[in-house]
Amino acid sequence: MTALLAVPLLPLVAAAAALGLGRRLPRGGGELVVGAVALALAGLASLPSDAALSATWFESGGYRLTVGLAATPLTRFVAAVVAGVAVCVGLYGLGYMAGRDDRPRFFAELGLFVGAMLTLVLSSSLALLFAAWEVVGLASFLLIGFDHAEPGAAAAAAKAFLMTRIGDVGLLLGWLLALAAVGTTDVDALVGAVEGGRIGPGTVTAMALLMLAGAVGKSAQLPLSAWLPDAMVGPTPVSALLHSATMVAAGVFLVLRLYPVFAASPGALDTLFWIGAATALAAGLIATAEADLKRVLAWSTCSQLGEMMVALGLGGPGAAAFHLAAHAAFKSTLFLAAGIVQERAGTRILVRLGGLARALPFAGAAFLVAALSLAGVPPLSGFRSEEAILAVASRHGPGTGALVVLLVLLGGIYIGRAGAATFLGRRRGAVGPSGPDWAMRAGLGLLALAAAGLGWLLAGRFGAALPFAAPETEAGWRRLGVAAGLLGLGLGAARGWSGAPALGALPARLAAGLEAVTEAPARRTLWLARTVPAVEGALDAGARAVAGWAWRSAGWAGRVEEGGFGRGGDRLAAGLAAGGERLRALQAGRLYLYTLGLFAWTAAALAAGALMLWP
Amino acid sequence: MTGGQAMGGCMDLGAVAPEMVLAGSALALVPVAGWVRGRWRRLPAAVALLALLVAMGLTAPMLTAPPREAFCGTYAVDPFRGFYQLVIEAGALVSLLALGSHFRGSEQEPHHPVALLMATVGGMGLTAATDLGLIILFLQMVSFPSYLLVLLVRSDGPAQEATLKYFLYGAAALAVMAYGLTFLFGLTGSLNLRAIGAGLAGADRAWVALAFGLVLVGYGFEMTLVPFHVWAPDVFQGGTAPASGFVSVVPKVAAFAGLLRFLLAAMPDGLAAWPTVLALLAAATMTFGNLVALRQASLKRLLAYSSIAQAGYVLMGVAAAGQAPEALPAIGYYLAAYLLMNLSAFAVVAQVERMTGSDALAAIRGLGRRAPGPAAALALALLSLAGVPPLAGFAGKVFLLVAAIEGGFAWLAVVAAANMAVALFYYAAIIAETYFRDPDRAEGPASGAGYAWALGLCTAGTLGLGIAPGLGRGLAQLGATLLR
Repeated sequence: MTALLAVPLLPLVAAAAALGLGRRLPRGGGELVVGAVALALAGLASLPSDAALSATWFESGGYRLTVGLAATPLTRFVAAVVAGVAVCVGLYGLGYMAGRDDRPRFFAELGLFVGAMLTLVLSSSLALLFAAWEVVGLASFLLIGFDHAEPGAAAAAAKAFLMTRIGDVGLLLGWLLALAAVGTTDVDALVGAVEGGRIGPGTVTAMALLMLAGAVGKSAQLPLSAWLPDAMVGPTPVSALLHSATMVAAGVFLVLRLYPVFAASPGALDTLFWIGAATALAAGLIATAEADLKRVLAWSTCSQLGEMMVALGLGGPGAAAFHLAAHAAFKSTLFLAAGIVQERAGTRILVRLGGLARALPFAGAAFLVAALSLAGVPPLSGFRSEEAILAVASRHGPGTGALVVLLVLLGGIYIGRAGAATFLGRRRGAVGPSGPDWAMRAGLGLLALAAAGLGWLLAGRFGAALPFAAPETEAGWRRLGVAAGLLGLGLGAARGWSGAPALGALPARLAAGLEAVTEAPARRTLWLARTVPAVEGALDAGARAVAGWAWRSAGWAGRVEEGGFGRGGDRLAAGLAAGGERLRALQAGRLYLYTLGLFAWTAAALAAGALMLWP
Repeated sequence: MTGGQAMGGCMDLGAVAPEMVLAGSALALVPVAGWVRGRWRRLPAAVALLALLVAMGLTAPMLTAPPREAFCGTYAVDPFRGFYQLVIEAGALVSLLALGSHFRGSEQEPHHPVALLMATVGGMGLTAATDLGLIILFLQMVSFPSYLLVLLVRSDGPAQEATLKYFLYGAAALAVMAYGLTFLFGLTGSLNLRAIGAGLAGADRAWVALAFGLVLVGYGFEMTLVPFHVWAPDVFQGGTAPASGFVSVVPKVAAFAGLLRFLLAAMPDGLAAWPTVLALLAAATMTFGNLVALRQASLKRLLAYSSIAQAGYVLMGVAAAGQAPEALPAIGYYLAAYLLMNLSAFAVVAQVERMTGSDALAAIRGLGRRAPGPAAALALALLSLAGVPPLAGFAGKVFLLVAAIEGGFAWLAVVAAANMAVALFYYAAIIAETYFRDPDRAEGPASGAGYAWALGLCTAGTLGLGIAPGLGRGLAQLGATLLR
C-alpha cells in the first residue's frame, strides 16, 4: 500500500526539495522533480491490481468524510498517462528553463501540479478529489502567471482562475449533495447507491449536472472556454502538460470516474453531448482562423475535449478514455514542437513563420507525426481513438456519425494549416542560431513516439484492461473518417499556406463573439467589485461627515473650555486651594485623620449591616 | 430580611470565577500601568498572560457542567458558555502575545493589557448573560476597551479618526439596541431571556419583529454584518495590526455567542422570521465583503473585508441554528478556526507593518524570501480562510454548508459556495505577492518572541483542527448544550 501512497507523494516531496535546494543543483531542481515523477510512474506499474487505502477523515453528524486512494483500472490508466506525459514534458522543461534564475520555483510549481493531479486521479473519495482539484487549479494559476513580465500574463492567470472557479462551485455543491444523499464521500459508495437505485432520479440528475459544471470549467467547454487560449501566455511546458494533456482532461476524467452517475441520468448525458458538440464545432472552426500557433493548438484542445464529451454523452466512455490518452500524447507533442519553433523564430504568429522544416528538422518531424495523428491517419494513435469515437457515434445514428466525421475534417484543416504555415513554404522571418538541447529533444522525441505508437498499445493490452466495452467500427464509416482527415489536411495546407485563415474570416468573428459572451460573468464580477466601493464610499462619506462634525465641535468645545470654563475653573481651584490652606492651618493637618475616620465609620456600618442581614 | 436572604441564595461567585480573575487583574493593573518604568513595563503583560491562563483553567470545567443559572437567573453556567469563553480567552491570549511584541519598549507597553483584559471580560460576560440589562452592559464593556485598544498606536496616525468612528457608530448602534430591548421588556414584563421567550409566544408579531430588528443592530455592529459594518474597514486600517486582529476576533465571537443565546432562548421557533432575515443578511454580508475585498491594496483593509465575509459564512450557520442540530457545533468549530487563521494573518501583517511602516500589498512583496517562517504562516492562514483543504477553514466551511443544507437553506449554501470561489482569488493574490515576486526591500519583518509564539500557536491550531477536525468538533459539540 505504501507504493500507492508514494505515487502522489513523490512529486510533492520533490517539489518541496526543488524549492529548497534548487539553487544549488545544476538543473535548478528540475532533475529531482523529473526523477520523482519517473519513480512514481514505475510505482504505478508495480502496483498490485485493485490496491486501495481509505480512512475516515472526519465525521459530522452522520456524515462521513473519507480520504483514500484506489488503483482501479481506470484510475491507473489515467494516472499512467499523467505521469508519462509529465516525465516527457519535465525532461523538455529541463532544457527549456536552462539558465533561468527562477527555475526552482518553476519546477516546484510543476511538481506540486503533478502530485495534485495524481492525487486527483487516484482518489477514491470525493472530498480528496475536490481538494486535489482545487490545488491543481491553484498550480495552474501560478504557472500561467509564471512570467510576470510577459504582458497579459497576470490577467490571463486571473481569468483562468476565475472562470474555472465558477465550475468548481458546481463540483463543490455536487459532492456536498452526494454527501447529503449517501452519507459518505466514498466514490464506490456513491456509485453503488446510484446503481442500486437508492437515490431519487431528480437528485441524481441534479448531482450529475452540478458536477458537470465543474467538468465544463476545467475542460474549457462552452460557455467557460475563453480562458484556455489566453492561458497560452504561460511557459510552453505548462501549456503542454496542464493545458492540453492533463489538467484540462480532468473534466473528462471526472465524468469517466463517475460515469454510472451520469449514465443514470439521461438528461445529464444529453447535456453532456450538446455541450461537447457545440464546443467541438465552435472551437474547431475558430482554430482554422487563429493567427497564433499556440492559440490554434489551444482551440484545438477545446475541440478535442469536446469530442471526448460527445463520446461520453453518446454512451462511449471507453472511446473517450482512449481519446484522452491519445490526445495527451499528440497534443503535448505539438505544443513542445511549437515551443521549439517559438524559441528559434522568436514569434508564434503564423504569418511571420514559414519554411522552418529545413532549420528545425527534428521539431518538424515530431510535429508532422503528431499532426497526422490528430487528423486520424492510420496507424497512428489518433486514428485508433477517433475510430472508437466514430464507432460509438455511428451506432447512435447517422447524424452523430456525420458530426464526428465533420470534426475530424475540421481537425485536419486547422492542423494542416498550422503545420504548413509553420514548416513549409518560404521563410518569412529570421531564425535564431542555437538548436534545442538534448533534454528538449529527448522529451519531444519520447512524446512523438507515444503519439505514433500509443494507438497500437491501446488497441491491445492497455485498452483491454479498461472496464469499458469498445464497439467495432463499420468499414464504411472508418473509410469516411480517414478520408475526411486526409482531405482536411490537404485543404488546410493548401488554403493556409501563408498563415491566412483556412475557412475565411467568419470563424474569427465567431471567436470574438464567443469571447464577449463568455467573458461577461467575469467582467460583471469585476464591475460589481468596482461599483460596490462607490456605494460604500457614499456611506463612508456620510459617516466621515458625522465624525468630522463631532471632531470639530469637540475642538470648539475644547477652546471654549480652555478660554472660559478652564480659566474659571483654575480660579475656582486656586480659591479653593487658598481656602484649604486656611483650613489646614486651622485644623493643623488633622484633616487626613478625620477623613480616615469617616471611611472607618462607613466600613463599620457596612459590617454591622452585613452581620444583621446574615441568616 | 427576605431580600437579603434571596440575595444570599443567588450569590454564586464560583459561576463568575474566570471573569473575576480577569477583572481583578485588570483593576489591579490600572495603578501599576501608570507607575511602571523601564523594563518593568513588561510586568502588566506578564500578569495579564498569567491571569488569562488561570481563567482558562477555571473555565474548562464548565465544558462538562450541567446547565444551571446563577445570580437569580441573570447569568448562565453551561457548556455553551464554557466553550465560547475558552475561545475568547484563547483569542485574547494570542492577541496579547502579538500586542506585547508590538509595543515592546514603547510608552504604550504597560497600557494595552488593561484594555485587553477588560474587553475580554466583557466578551466573556456576553456569552453567559441571560438578562437584558447585563447583555447591554457587557456589550458596552467589550466595546469601550476595544476603542481604547484601537487608539493605542506606536506613532500617531489615523487611529484617532478610526477610534472616533468606532466609538460614535458603536454608541449609536448600542443605543438603538437598548431601545429594542425596552420593547421586549414592555411586551413581556421581564428582563430574563427565557421568561421573554415564554412571554413572546402570545405577543403581537409586529412588535416582536420591530424589537428584533432593533436588537439586531447592536449584535450586527459587533459582528460586522452588512449594513452595520461601515466602521470596520476604517477601524481595522487605522488601528495597529495586532489591535485590529483583536477587534476582528474577540468582540465578534462574543457577539455571535450572545446572539445565539438571545435567539435560542428569547425567540424560539423562528419568531419574527429570524432564520430568513439572518439568511438574507448572511448572503448580503458574504457577497459584499468578498466583492469589495477583490480590489483592496491595503492588507488590513483587505483583511477587514475578508472578516466581514467570514462573518457572513458564520451567520449562515446561525440562520440554520433553530432547525439543524448540526448548526451549533458547526458555528463553534468555525469561530475557533476563524480566530486562529485570522489572528495568524494579522500577526504577520503586524510584523511587516512594524518594520516597514506600511500595510500595503507591496510591503509583503517577496516576503517568502525575506522571512520564510512568517510567510508560510501567512500563506497557510489565507488558504485556510479561503477554505482550501486540509486546513481548518475547509472543514469548518463543510460543516457550515452541511448545516445550511440541513436547515433548509440550500440556496444560501449555493451563494456561499460561489462566494468561496471568488474569495480564493484575493487570498491567492496575496500569496502570489509573497512568494512569486522579487522583494523590493531587503529588511525582514520585525521579530519578537510574542509574534513567534502567536504565529506558532495559530498555525499549529489551523493545521491541527484541519487535519483532525474530529477533536475540535467534539469540543464544539460539547459546547452546543445551552441553558434554554
